[in-house]
Amino acid sequence: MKNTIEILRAGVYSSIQDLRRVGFKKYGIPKSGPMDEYSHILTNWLLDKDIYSETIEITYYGPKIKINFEGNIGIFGSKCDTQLNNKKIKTGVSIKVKSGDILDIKKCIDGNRAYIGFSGCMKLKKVFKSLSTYEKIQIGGLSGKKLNKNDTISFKNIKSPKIKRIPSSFIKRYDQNNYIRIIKGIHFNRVQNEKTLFDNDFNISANSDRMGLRLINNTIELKNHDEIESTVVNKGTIQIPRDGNPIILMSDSQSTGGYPILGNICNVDISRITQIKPNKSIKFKMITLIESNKILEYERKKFKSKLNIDLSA
Amino acid sequence: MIKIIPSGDSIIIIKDLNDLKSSTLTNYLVKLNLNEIEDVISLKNSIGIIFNPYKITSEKFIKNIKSLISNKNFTNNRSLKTWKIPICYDKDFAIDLKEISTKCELDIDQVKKKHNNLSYKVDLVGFLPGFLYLGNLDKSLYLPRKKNPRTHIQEGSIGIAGNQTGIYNIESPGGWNIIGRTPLKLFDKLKDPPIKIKQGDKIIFKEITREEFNSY
Repeated sequence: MKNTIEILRAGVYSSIQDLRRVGFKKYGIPKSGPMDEYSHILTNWLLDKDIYSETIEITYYGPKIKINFEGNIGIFGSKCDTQLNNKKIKTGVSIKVKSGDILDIKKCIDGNRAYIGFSGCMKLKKVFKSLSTYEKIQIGGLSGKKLNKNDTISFKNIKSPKIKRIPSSFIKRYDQNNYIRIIKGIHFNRVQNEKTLFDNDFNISANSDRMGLRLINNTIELKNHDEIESTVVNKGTIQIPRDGNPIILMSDSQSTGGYPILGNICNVDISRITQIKPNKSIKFKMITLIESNKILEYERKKFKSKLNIDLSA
Repeated sequence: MIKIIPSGDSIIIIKDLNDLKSSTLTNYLVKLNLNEIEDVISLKNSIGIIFNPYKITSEKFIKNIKSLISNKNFTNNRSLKTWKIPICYDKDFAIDLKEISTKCELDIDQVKKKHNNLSYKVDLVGFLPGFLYLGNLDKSLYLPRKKNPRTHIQEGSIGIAGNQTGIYNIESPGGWNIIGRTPLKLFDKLKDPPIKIKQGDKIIFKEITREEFNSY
């Protein structure tokens, strides 16, 4: 079929996501969107598409896709073992494709997720103003489901923009030990011992998903677990349930939470933490809200001056 | 004086409100249609606003919101609606009714009566898509959540947990003690808004028989 892609193998968990679903949390519908927004935005940049455009998010092990159009593709995020027609190709650079090409993305190497972008628009209907897949109530994407073998996605407005490469200053490493900056949360004063929180390492449990990252190997004791009034939460909010193992809420998380809130991850660091593999450790570093705002401002300027991407669009 | 605090770099919380104020102020904030606002979530005593931190800092945002809402009266701009919700306590639906009756030391008819005798206030819409948290539960029905949450709770199920009763409007896992089911589809993903009931509204339960349930 002309102007389509066909899914020959779906991979572990591949889904269509655009930047986010805005304005429906008041009904309990999460914002969804890519776990790693940073890589999603840069993938779209490779194809001259705005930050809100849709990509395919792949998890751990990617799909095999037959491309039935002439245009460009781009892949960015975790480094992946990627082939086009059985020849190794690079990620972080846009690539010309022609009808009949087979894209095969295997293992994510240094991170957990990567994004595939296409130089056209998927012909799909938005649900609650977004194409993001949210399987719980089956909305977005292809009939609200993750990608499956034999799925076909149609495209329109396919273009062939010039080849672009993501500058090295935007390429992150996920395979080293990682500091994650956090801002004190509204129940921070319940933490029994701040020293264990900042001195000891955490690991991200393999039992994490698009709803939340579960941290293990450094239990946070609270002075008390008195009931708190439900309060609003967001991607990057760190909750402490009764067992003391923190949960960092992610794209498909609930709109409100009843667990004490330890803190919130500095917005700029949220994308990075989603890429850290279960066997790597992370440490928290406390920053103030003012410092976080400076980091956000630096990031905004960097995107604007180097790539002409407006994060405040 | 309205108190507003930041929570991280992309949430602010308007504190110390009451039901009506929270609900009407939320309406007002949504209508302002501010470019930096992503979501406004109305809670029982507070409002959470999620905003885009690349567009504005929380410090400035708090200042702006304060100046927008100060000296305004938010007590009666929105009339709170009352919703009549049919509930069936048939044993096939009310899978925990027996246990509730034992634990609360009430017979089953007393449990039903205490459950549908009162009018409830919608404390919160959310957590799960369309989930309704209802406050003002009779004290004799206060029960902790189940130790082992179920993996599937049917759509329409009505449960009790803590000092609230709640309605599961989509099928999902859950730990509430299930006391009955409503035949109404209160959450519809094909409509915008997907649910019409809002925080602050009133809910009255009306008992129906299994036959009436089936004819809905």
